[in-house]
Amino acid sequence: MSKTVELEFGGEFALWYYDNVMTKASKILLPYEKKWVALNAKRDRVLASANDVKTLAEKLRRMKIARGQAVMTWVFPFDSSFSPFNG
Amino acid sequence: MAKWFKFSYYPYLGKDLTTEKLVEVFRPTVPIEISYGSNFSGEFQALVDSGSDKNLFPAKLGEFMRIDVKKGKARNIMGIGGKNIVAYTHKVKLYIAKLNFDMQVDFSYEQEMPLLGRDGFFNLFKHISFSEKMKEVTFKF
Repeated sequence: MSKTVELEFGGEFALWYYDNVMTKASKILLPYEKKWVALNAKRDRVLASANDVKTLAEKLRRMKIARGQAVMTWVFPFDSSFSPFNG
Repeated sequence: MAKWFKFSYYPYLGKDLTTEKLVEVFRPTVPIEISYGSNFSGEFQALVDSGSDKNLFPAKLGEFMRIDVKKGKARNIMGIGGKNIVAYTHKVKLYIAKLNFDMQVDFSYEQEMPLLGRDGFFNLFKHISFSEKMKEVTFKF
């Protein structure tokens, strides 16, 4: 049975299933393995992606997305556990 | 009384080793921003990594902020499996949860995930604790 929990997240609350069922927050990362993505403030939509963070940040600037309206993250590889230095 | 704030782990994707299916993998990444002079990085997720001696960020982020990355002091960093990489140290300002700190970051062209390490991040706080059960990381300052 899936369990719903309320997690504090950047001052907002999001409902996430976290018993190994992919939620919207992680599903949207599916096409972006090992890429950098920019998510909207609610983290439920990908605004832009790029192979490196510099290119992504420049894209956001060109799109005139203001500070605080996006958060960038690198998408970890799907097929391996993560230890530092596999970037 | 200590002040505190906390962030939930963020859900990424990973393969379940037994079923080979994609599942959620929650990792302790937190939203931060850094600045160098008047240049700001924009907000990004960085991994709170107690196994890292120092902060280690991708050099491309430094380039975006107009840091002349290779002008920093070069240092070798050894990671998992004994692999060595070169990184260049610079001073930046860190913004996290409405707080800001001066800190040193090593920028490397061989690193993608930004890592927040013990010397330069953990030592800015009185206490950092992880709850794998609640999937939260709490900072006291």
